[in-house]
This record gives sequence, structure tokens and C-alpha cells, in this order.
Amino acid sequence: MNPPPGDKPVQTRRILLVDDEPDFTSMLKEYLLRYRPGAWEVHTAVNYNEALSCLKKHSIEIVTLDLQMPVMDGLQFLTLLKRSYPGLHVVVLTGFVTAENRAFCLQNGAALFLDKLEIAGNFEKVHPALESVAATPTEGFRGMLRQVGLPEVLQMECLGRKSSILEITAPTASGRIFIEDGSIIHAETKSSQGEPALFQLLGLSGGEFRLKPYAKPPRLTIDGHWESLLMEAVRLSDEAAARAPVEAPAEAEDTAALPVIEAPQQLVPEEAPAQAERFLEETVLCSAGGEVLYEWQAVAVNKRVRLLQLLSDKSASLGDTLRLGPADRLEIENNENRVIALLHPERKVFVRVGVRWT
Amino acid sequence: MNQAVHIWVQRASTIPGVLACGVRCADRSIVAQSADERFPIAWVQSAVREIAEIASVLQHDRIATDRLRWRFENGRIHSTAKDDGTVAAVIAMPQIELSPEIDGLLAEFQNLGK
Repeated sequence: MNPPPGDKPVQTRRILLVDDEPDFTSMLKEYLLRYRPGAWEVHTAVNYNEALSCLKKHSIEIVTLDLQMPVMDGLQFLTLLKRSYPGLHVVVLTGFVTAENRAFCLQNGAALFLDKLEIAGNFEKVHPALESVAATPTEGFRGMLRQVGLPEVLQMECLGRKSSILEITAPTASGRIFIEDGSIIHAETKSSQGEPALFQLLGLSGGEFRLKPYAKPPRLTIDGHWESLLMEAVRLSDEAAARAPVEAPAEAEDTAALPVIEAPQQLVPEEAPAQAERFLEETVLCSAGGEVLYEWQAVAVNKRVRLLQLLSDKSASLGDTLRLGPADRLEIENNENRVIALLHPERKVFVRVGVRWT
Repeated sequence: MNQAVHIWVQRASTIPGVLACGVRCADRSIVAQSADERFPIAWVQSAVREIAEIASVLQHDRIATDRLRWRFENGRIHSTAKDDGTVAAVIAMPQIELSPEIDGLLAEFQNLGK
């Protein structure tokens, strides 16, 4: 029953438990109040009317919701709740567990879908989950720019068809990337220029960057499409990371010790037995509010936007649960394609890349 | 299967750079192991449950979940999820972007019980 050591200082969260089984709600309430005194202000409701009335009276942050309640369908109530209180965290806690219900709830704004029977036997399981949901921000994200990788910044500039100079300073290399009307036209470091310089800069794992107003570059050294260039940079970066030693993690925490790509030709073995040919299948870029800023060949744009928002929320929650900090990206890979979801505070990007083995 | 899962989790937790790992079995039970005292088992169990939720949504959207890799500020999560709801997750240090050892272990997990 003791709370885990090293937890954050107690901050009181207001929670509403909605369930028509008073025994269950009173047990959960008692558990929450005893687990960490002062962490929860617990309200209960035995039907949806009581729940709505409680939401009007109190500034509730999180609601646990049973789906099987009299009068109104729980799925409808969830939709109604999220429409009326978009900032409210809803955790579905139900004994009516089906794949369809789970998918519907998560797609319609539930932060978690938990099996009530599983929870009832062990309330200790629910506390970290509720805590991490309550700690998840609901109105956008701030102050994460320092965690955005260079490829992502470059991608934003290119997708927005902007003209700018990206100036990079890192312990191991410095340089500039020139973008004109959304095309990468030149890159330079002290020792190289063109694509080798671009890949070297994009392979840096630490350092600072600044976006500066556009000026003509001294020469044009890059003419490839930005998507192909970025994919190649990601591939080279992944390969470099895979080759990095893992037996000395403490030293590796220093960004200066992270691998730096010197030049692409040194990283691609000529005798590679099979070559993966990658091609872009679809792209969706949306704002934090879900507004579509750019899309290319997306099968169902709104579905992708909903998925991006869901992945963003869920990944943030996952990061909170494990105290890993904010999530930057999720990569999903199988034999046929690779999905990259960039989960930035201001913009989210869904990129699906097909893989053809030749 | 359960014995195999325990062995898998045990092995995963000994890979250099791995902080914790866990598996959600088809019966929804969770086997978790921490290799670092900063990661209590309860957190790992909760995280595995959350990953299972995310995998379920992706599968619903017809996105295959052979490999899921999260990049967080202070760590990485490497995961795989099967269609039957089983999920394996490895929480690793931020430097472990791609690890052949972890990748091999996740591929092995895909074949457990077959």
C-alpha cells in the first residue's frame, strides 16, 4: 500500500468515479484516498445524470466511466462528455471489454480503456494509470522545441514551402542548410558541402539550431527531393546508431560522445545483399488543434489526424508513466512499410513509407 | 507459453542498456522485470498495458504492429504486438536507437507459442 519511493510531490487531483455499483466505487474511492493521502479529491456518481450534475458543480479533471449503465449507452455518454468537456480526461473502466468498444472509446477521446474485473482484484494497478492520465496536458504542449530533431525542423520548413537558413552548432560539427521554397538547395560544414554535409548535420544528436532569414547560398550543391534526402538521412542515422557501442551507456549520455556521420559513402557497404527501395506512400501534417496543414495521398485524412492526436496523447501518457519525458516520435515498422509519427507540440506529422526489397 | 514468456523477459532484462521490460500475455496477465531501480514494476506493468492499448488502436486502423519504437527525451521503448493482444516491450536507454540484440529478441517473441 505504500506509494513508490521517489514520486512527485502530492498534488490534489479531482476525480469522478461513475459506476452504478456503489460497492465498487466506494472500494476504489477508499483505495485512492488511502494510497496517497491528499493526492485525490474523489467524487462518485451512480448514474450519468448525477455525473453531469457533479461536473457542473466541481472542476473535475478526470472521470472513470462504466459503459454498462441504465438509461443511456456508455459509448454515447463518452461522446457527449468529450464534446461538452473536451479538456476532461476520461478513463473507461468497464467489465464489458470487447475490441470494438476499446477501439471506439480510444478513438473518441478516452485516455485509457481498462478492464474493471482485472482492476477490481488489484487496485494497485489503477493508481499509476490514473496518475499518469491526470498529469497529461490536454491543451497543446509548450516548451519542447529543444527536443525537436533537425530532420523534423527541416521537414516542417519543406512542407511549409518556406525559405530559410538552418544554422546548426554542435560540439562535433557546425554548418548551415539552405532551404528555398521548400527545397533543400545547399548545405555546408567546415569540411564538406552538398549531400555529405547535409547528412552529417542531420546525423547530429545534440547541439543547437537556429532558423535564420533566407539569403542566397554561395552555390547550389543539392538538387534531390527533400523527402528522399530526409529518408536517406534517417536511414544513415539509424545505421550509425545501430553501430554505436551500447556497453558504455554512462559515457554515451554526453551528446558529444554520440556518433557523427562523416560521409554517406562510408556507411553504406557496397556489397549489401539486399537493397530496400523506399517510396513515400502518404503524408499528413496537422496543427496541434487538428487542422490539416498539408496532405499528400492520404487515404483518409481525418482518420489520420485522429490517429495522430491519439498517438500523441497516448505517447505523452506513456512517457509520464515511465518518467521518460516527452515523446518525440513513434516509428511503426513491418516488412511492407514504415510509418513515422512525429509528435511535436505544435505540429504532428504522419508519414507512411513503402519498402520494396530488390 | 508462460514459462517461455518468463524466460524471454529474464533475457531481455539482461541486455546492456535495457532498463526494464514486460509482456502482456493473451490472458491479459503481465510479466514484468526491472533492470533499474528507477523503474518500479508497477510503472512497467502500467506502461505495457498502455502500449497494448495503442497497438490495439493501430491494428484497428490496419497498421501492422510488428515493431513499435518510441523516442522519448529520456529513453526508448522497443515493442512488438501480435494480433491476439500479446505485447512485448523493452524500455531502453536513450542511446539505444536500434539494437540488433533487442530486435532479435522481439523477433523471437513473435514466434513464441507458434
